[in-house]
Amino acid sequence: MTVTLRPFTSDDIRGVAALEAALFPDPWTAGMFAGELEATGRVWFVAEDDAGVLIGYGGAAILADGDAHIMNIAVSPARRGQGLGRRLLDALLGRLRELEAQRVTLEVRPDNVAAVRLYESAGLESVGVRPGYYGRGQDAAIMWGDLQEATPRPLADSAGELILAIESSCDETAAAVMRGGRELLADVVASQIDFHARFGGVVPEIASRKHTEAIVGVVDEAMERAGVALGLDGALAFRDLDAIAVTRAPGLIGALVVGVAYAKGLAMAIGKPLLGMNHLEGHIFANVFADPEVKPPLVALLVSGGHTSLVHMPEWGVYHTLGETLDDAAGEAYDKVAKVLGLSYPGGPIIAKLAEEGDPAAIDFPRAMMRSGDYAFSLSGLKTAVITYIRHEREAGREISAPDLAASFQQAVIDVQVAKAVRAVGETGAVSFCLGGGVAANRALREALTSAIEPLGVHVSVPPLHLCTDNAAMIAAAAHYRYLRGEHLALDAEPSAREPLDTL
Amino acid sequence: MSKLLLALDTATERTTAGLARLGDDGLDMFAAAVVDAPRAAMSRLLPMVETLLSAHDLTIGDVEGVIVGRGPGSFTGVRIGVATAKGLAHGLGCPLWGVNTLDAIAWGHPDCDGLLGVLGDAARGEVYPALYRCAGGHPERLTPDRSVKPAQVAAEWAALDGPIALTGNGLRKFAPIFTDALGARAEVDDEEWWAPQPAGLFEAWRALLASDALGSGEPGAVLPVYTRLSDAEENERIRDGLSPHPTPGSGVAGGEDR
Amino acid sequence: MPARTITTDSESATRAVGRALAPLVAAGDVIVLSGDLGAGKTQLTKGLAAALGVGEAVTSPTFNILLVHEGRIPLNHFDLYRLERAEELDDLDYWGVLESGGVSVVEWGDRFEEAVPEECVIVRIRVTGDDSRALEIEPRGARGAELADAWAAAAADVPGVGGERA
Repeated sequence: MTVTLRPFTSDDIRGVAALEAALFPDPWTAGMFAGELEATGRVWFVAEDDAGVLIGYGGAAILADGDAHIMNIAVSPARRGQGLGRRLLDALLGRLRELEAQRVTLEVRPDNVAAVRLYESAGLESVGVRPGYYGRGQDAAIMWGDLQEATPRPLADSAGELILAIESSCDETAAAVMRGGRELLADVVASQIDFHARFGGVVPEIASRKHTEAIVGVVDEAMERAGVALGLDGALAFRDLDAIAVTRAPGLIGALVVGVAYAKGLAMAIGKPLLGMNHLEGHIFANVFADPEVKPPLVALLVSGGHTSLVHMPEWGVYHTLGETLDDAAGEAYDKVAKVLGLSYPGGPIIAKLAEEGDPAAIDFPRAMMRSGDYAFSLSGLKTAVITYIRHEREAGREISAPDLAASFQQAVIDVQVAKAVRAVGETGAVSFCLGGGVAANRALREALTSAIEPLGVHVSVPPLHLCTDNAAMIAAAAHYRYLRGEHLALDAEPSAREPLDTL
Repeated sequence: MSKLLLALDTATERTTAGLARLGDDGLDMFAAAVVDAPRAAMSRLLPMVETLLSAHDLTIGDVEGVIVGRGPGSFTGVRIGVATAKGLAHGLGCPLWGVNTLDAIAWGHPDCDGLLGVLGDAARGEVYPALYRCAGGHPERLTPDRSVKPAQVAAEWAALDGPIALTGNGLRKFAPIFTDALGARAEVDDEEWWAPQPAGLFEAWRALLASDALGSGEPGAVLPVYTRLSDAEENERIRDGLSPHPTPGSGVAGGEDR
Repeated sequence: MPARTITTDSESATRAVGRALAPLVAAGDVIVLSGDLGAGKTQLTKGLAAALGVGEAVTSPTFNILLVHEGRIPLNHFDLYRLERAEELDDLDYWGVLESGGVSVVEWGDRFEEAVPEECVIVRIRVTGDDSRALEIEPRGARGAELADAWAAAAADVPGVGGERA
């Protein structure tokens, strides 16, 4: 979900012209954009997502008298409402200031309220009307703003607070910078960084050592990328942050220790609040971040190698754990069944793939706690049932159909998860349902939940695959509400390997 | 002009912090605290630093350099100290320097003359031994960092001449092994001095400064002292030009590495 | 020191054997558990935890590798299933935790010779039927022998439990 802003080059002409043609009734042509690249006194930026897809652009011209004219700011419809227009505008204004333009002007449709508000928040005012600018009877509002007079506004203005989030609960050291809970400015994991080039050393493979060695570099990289995203001259400065967020639980205690100790030191040093995050709320907010329709009251089913729980979020940032696994996590059950079948680790994706070719009704495995009347899960019995089945079949000299076994095992897992999720949605009156955690990548589970819950009139959100894995962006998104609620962590705080969402 | 330095160490069951001014006329430590906090460094360290600062009308923003004990010691303890120090120095935009915890303990014995053996508790029935020759309050390190069974160290030290002053929290479990092996030559230190003292951290830092071995001061570059690195990691470090035993100090002799 | 074998005829009997251990353990004791997936290592631990007064659910520590439960004395519940190299034990502060003042149960502790301390009780659980298990108890060191003796004697009185000297 990382969006990168960079100057417009000739390689972008085709993409920009295509987006322009899709957005405007009388589009500029590729030739006209090429002309802009040739002309002097022009400032153009393009925005692309982490797949390199062009999703927005904007341009301005500096006129002879030192005034600047913003000619265009365009954002792909799928990416609207994520602060991208704001970033493009900020980038243009920043560059125009550098070029010592004195004033800036633009035209906008007066009924485009969102755009007018955006420009007003950047200090522009409506000063008149240009009749028929957009065609007969379609006037444009003319807006003007002063580029040099205004004291630089704080980076975190109406668009929201700036939060640096740090996540070290498992194997990856990760950091992200988020503005206002929705606008991701940087999203870094240690494995992306060439530490050898940076430090001349190696990053060890062992979790906590790796975190200790990587954490400063990962944060530096995040602050640099945030600086680029904000159109700053260099890295975002710590003093411009509004808060530091860190995953405090649950996870590997030795790994959590590093992130929490570092974040506490950093927060104390820069005099900013520290927000203690639960990894599980991050998995909920991976959905909130990716899908603007997700809103409370919501129910989330969080399933991974380390947890299986149903959580009710009656309002933003308030969590009630409805139930958890009493023994094994769902992802762990997948891995262990794969191990018994002699498959490699991690077994989840392999079992899911095998299951596609098998008969889910072939073997009647137990559905533990299906009718327990609560939201607790138990997967240990299912694991033992699978092991016992395999032993019996082998003793009887019968061939085991791995696809049938995988499909039947998976169906037993899914049946219980779906039944409890449906009941939780009904009992809480949730309007949204989210799936989260590593097992959220399982297609059969996604489909079963969607087809069971959507007919209830509840919005169902499954996270994009890249947000199913651990990352700091989701922690930063969740931190927005901890920030708004003023829930700060004290300097004597300690991490916890296991702690329910309700208390953290 | 003087610089305000903060030193801390959490490699043992004692959490340690101190403040000093580095001026033209030397290093002046003016605040220090040592508390017993077994497995509680995470909760105790920063409140302790804050108390020290505010008692002298200072804030964390006044700190211009951070010194941290890199171990060897408790793995969790060392990680807490190093990661906290990295956060502080990174946020302050000031240098971070690591010192060897055993060196800091040795530097905390200015009265020692002759051989000084520091024995850190390495868990697993092992110790982190370090032998020093002290003269004029200056301990010269004779052995590299390692973790080893105490009986082996006792045998090695028994073969040396003269009395050996013994200190370090490894004595809590293993003092009898050393007093048996060394007999009357063993001089067991008072328990109060088994953990690093703030003054020792500052002195160990000053020794690094004097020998031009402080390192870059980059917060990202300071790492814990691991004595049980896997061979693969150790070899990569050597290949990358990093010292596998980052302990500075001349005249390394005696004792085998693992 | 001879190994002893305790047999159980159900999951609940395996848990009861774990419960019988609770009054006997002291800070610093280590129980190393081995046995196939589904053999009942966690069941044994659940019994021990319940009788130590642990209130919360004892869930599998496979993911977290270490979960600490507060009871009469702390219960350090390790699971080394996911570890690939013995060096990772140091990274977990494995020995520091064993010596931190609680009783430690180490599932899959036999995966690394280094993980088995000089003083401990090793329990190998064998699946002998759908519900029946054989728990082979091997003490290490003097404290291990003392604990294994007392445990075998206490477990002999548990319904559903049999025993034999190997």
